[in-house]
Amino acid sequence: MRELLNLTGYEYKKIFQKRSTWIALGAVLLWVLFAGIGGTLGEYYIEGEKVDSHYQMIKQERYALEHLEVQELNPEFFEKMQEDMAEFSETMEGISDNPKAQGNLIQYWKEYYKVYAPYSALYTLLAMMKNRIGDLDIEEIDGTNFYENRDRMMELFFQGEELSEQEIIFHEKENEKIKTPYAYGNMLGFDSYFKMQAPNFIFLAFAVAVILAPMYAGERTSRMDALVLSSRYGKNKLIQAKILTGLSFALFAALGFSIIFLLEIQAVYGLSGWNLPIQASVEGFYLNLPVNLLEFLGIALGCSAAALCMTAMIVMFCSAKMKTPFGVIIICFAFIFAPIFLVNLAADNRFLYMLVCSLPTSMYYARSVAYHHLLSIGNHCFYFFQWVPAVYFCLIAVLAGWSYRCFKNHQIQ
Amino acid sequence: MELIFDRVTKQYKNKLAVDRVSLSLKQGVYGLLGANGAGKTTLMRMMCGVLKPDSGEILYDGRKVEEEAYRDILGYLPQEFGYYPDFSAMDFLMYLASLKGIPRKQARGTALELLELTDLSPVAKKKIKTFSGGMKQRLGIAQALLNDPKVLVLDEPTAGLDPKERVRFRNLISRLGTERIVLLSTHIVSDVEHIADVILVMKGGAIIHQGSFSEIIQVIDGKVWECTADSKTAEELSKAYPVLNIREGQNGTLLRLVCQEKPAETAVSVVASLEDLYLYYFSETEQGK
Repeated sequence: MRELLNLTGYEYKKIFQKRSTWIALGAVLLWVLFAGIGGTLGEYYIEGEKVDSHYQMIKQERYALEHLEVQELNPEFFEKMQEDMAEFSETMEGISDNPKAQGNLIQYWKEYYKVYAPYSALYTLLAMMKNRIGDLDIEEIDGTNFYENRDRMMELFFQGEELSEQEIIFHEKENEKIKTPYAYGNMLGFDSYFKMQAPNFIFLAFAVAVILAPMYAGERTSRMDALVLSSRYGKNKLIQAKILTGLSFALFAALGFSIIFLLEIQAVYGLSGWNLPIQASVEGFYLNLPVNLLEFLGIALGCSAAALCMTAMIVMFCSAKMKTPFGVIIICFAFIFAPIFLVNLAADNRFLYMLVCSLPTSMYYARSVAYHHLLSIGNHCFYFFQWVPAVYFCLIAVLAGWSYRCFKNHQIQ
Repeated sequence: MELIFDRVTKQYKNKLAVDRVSLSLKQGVYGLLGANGAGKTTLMRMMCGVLKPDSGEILYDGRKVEEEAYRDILGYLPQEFGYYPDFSAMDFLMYLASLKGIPRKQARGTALELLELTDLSPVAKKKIKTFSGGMKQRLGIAQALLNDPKVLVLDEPTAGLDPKERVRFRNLISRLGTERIVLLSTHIVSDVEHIADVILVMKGGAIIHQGSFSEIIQVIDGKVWECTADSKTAEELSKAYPVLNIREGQNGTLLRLVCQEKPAETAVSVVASLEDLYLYYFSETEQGK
């Protein structure tokens, strides 16, 4: 074991002595930093006139959500919302048409946004509901029909997605487990995290491809293969150490960058609404999984970390099979990109759709890990986040064994 | 301590690189001589377990060379010595010591000794990418000795070394050969001549001669001649006999050649060297005859 860890340490040393590693990690860090604070940059304009900065708007919304009088989406909440918003009949975009705003737009906007801020996120949910249902007047939704409308919205989803009866029953049971009325509060941080998780991890997957591509292929290009393969541990512990290095690197990178991103999110948006149901957030509104935002964060992050480890294993497998790291990078970039385009092409075929949605890149999308399509085995139904990591685990074991064989049997010619 | 090659064969597409080689190597220094493409490197790679023979097997004391136990007693300097450019010499040796299963503390002491032996102590902490060709080669020799190997395989170890370094290296190998099997290949015939107990001559993938220097030199002993001739006679002699050396002098062309009988009136018999033997065997290959 000590030898294995010692060799793993040297594999890390090799990785971190490459300039490409630092460039790739630096690029990911810059991206993650930008992703966290990107939403705060810039100003909000109405009719070409700057009325506020995005940062101030976020700050105001966060404060409002953290200091709600009513912290549940119940009739009382909707009544208060309607009362508060009564004096502002127009939408946010149409505010400049109000005679009261003429010549006083900035001041009028500030008054408007002070009232609107606690309900901004809820209006987004209601708009999502309307988009799906169609003939729905948002103004008429209140604490008495909000949950009925949501159920109707979900029914339409199930019809549109041609879910099986077993899946529909499963989702209905899941839906019943969600405590109503929904607790409500500051979900902004979690929403931002879920929204940016996929771009962050896709960026990180590219970096992992660049960093791990030389794992085996680099031994060939540096002509170290003859030396390492003729050494005592070259055909066993070294290969184990390489696999351990690749997988642990992917895991640490996933956790490291996620923690950095979460710290940023906490600083900007706050994570105080951790115990809200995911249905109170934009990313979880269409889902039936009965978990809170913190639990869903764990699920989404776990799936993304597993997907990144899977990507890392594929990179290492290609590296063991191919002669140069460059070829490995090209293949892996294509593999990372492909699901983004394939998901729409495969939408008509359930099997292909499930297959594409189970690819690592698809698993970076928080919403898709608990989406409506389920894997049915006998009387049991499983979400993507339940069965895909198990499949990854098996595939990682198979590919690790295969890579092991490839490098062990590599012939120096 | 015995390394046995039993009808070892390796073919690359339509080229037979090693052709049914059967050998038995015991303690001592073996020099492998052969032209480019003779199969020396392929034979050495198979001996180190990094290339599988198509047929036949190589056994060390009855154990296959693919086994970990064999790799544990093996030291190998490949022809194309690879390295990690950003590692320092010390890091590189410590890494290879880990690969060879040497405990860290012991490895450190051995690495320092070997750096001293190969005159690399002053640059132990410098990155290998800053090293000259000779320094890299010395580092390669050092790494091959890390685990005090019982079988030491050195493929062109003196390439890139200056004459002083070569002499030092030859002396080192001579000492090492007293308690292990050392197989080295080189194009520098004098290295083999000085240190090899047994010389193996390889041609067309087969070992065509093996024995001590005095044994194998008998092939051309008394058949090496030197003479000075005018340019016309020199050209005729060159066509008639294998020429070992040719040099233009003040009195005409000085020729060194191999033939059974005195090739010219002015020819004098000279003592044959290993280089003469090498050129005698491999001039045909070079000339494509």
